[in-house]
Amino acid sequence: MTRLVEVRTQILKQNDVVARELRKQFAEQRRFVVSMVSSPGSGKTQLLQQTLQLLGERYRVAAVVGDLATENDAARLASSGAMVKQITTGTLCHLEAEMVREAIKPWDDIPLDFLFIENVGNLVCPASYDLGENCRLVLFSVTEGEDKPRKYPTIFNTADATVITKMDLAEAVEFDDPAARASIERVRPGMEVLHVSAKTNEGMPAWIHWLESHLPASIP
Amino acid sequence: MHELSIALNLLEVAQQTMSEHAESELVAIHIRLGPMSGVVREALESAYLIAREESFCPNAALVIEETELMVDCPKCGDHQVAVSLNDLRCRKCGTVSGRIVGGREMEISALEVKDE
Ligand SMILES: Nc1nc2c(ncn2[C@@H]2O[C@H](COP(=O)(O)OP(=O)(O)O)[C@@H](O)[C@H]2O)c(=O)[nH]1
Ligand SMILES: [Mg+2]
Ligand SMILES: [Zn+2]
Repeated sequence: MTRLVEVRTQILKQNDVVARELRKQFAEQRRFVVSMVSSPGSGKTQLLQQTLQLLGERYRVAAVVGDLATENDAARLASSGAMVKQITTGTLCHLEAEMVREAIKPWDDIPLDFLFIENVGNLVCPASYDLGENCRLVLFSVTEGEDKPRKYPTIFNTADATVITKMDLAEAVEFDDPAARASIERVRPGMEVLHVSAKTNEGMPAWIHWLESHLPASIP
Repeated sequence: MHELSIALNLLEVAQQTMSEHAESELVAIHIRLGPMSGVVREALESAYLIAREESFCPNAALVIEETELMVDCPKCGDHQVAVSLNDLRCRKCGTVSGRIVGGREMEISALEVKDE
């Protein structure tokens, strides 16, 4: 004979608890924390490198970057002069809140305006893990096809805004922006969409402005 | 593939819950899984079989209840079934709805234990 013990426990309870603590900590520290997810090669590191440089002139910025094996991305980002930490995840295809907490510990007492988290290049696994971020961005480049959002609805649905990258290539690949927006609208109605090119700087001023408008200090 | 880490988390939470409830023998873990949980059912089932071998309950089964994707429709009201995972319109009337009210579940609903 068996008997059912009814419970209602989140399977990722541990991660959720840490993420909640991080979010509270970020609010107290008045940091704006942005995470970035995308397929490998969509341009997260490139965009981040330029963003750190541009914001670094007026703000205190830092970044953590997750990668399966290499430390190349951290080296690229450090060239901007910002504080950068690499999290090497090994076989793990996503970041978890505890990994972020460990990585940023050395900065706990340092004032920061922006903290960026580059997740491992993957549009599936990161969807289930809250990192305590204030804003999750999902990136995809114009070369990946307009229907990317509908192929990965879960990650797009958990995101707060989409950044379409490599706009300098849009014409060459006949990127159909209305189709891309329609695809986003199906899986995350009303989500904000930004367009950038890290090569030509197209859209960069608007992107920087968007980030600044989300700073705790600029929110009444 | 993150289903193996999910399976390990699942077993850890089950073990904790067993000791909290002072239960001794686990027969099955019942979970609720939503289509928007980010977890693929089949992948989790295989990962679970691997993960349980080295766990406290090498014989416990995994019973999965799949939930539906539900949205809050501005026309028909709360808790309407959505068209599909990549089309969040209300299935009844086709209105676009941004608010998901069900379908992200990834939780243990019950532990089935031996009753001596
Ligand atoms: N043409 C063009 N190439 C880009 C742009 N951003 C990144 N790339 C290239 O795309 C490749 C992958 O970029 P990376 O930032 O490493 O992508 P990540 O894997 O998402 O971090 C690199 O070769 C970049 O030079 C862009 O705006 N335009
Ligand atoms: Mg990168
Ligand atoms: Zn409806």
